[in-house]
Amino acid sequence: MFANWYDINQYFAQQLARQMNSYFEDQASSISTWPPCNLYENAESVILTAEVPGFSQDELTLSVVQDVLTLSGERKPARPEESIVHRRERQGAVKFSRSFTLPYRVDAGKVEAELKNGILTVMLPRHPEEQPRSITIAKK
Amino acid sequence: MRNQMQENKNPEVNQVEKMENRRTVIPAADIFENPREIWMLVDMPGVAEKDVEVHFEKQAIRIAGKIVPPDKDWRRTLREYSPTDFERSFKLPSGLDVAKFTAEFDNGVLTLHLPKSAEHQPHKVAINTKK
Repeated sequence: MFANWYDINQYFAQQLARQMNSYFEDQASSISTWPPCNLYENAESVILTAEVPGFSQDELTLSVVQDVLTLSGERKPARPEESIVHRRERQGAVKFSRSFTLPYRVDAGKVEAELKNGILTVMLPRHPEEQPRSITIAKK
Repeated sequence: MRNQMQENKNPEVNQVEKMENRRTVIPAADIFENPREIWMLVDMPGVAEKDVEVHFEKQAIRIAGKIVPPDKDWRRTLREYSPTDFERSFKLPSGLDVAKFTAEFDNGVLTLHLPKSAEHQPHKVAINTKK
């Protein structure tokens, strides 16, 4: 089941988070470590992906200021009326805000975001001034 | 019926090994119950609707989802989750109407409605007063 230490660590962190959530059932607690995010980069851009299952576009907010990207969201708990709870492991009522310092300045006008199957993908192109430029060496 | 919705601990099920070398994670689930039905919500972010599988067999429900691994050309600088397939099984309580099970998949969340069969639903008995 576990391929390396990282996974074991992640597994226990998840379990702990699930336990904690069950204590704060219906309260909209503000968390700064959720959602789990991945950051990818190449020479031209940075891509941020976040696991936000159950969130719709209207419930998420993104903003970029200089090299800081902020992702926030809020949603109401989903629970049918007059029901008993057998299990509650998912993020329930949630209000979160996470900020990331990007490795370089981005072109704020060209940032694109997409929400698909519960994964938010944000494409952040590197600012033209920050892109590596090759300089031709003149021979005298 | 409370606490009957357990994870499948049947040793027979766990001893079966998969041939593919693909790791799976246990998706987070919410399970609620009201007098009419059992309601399940399962988080499977990154899975496309066509790759979600729900199997019902021998009083157990198996939920699985396959993800498309991301491009390897990109350098990963922050890693808080690894995109992996999902799989989880639950043992179902008796008294459910299997034919009426419904499933939806929206925004990476699988919603299952498992209605109880008619004889397990509460119904009110009228009390006649004799005079």
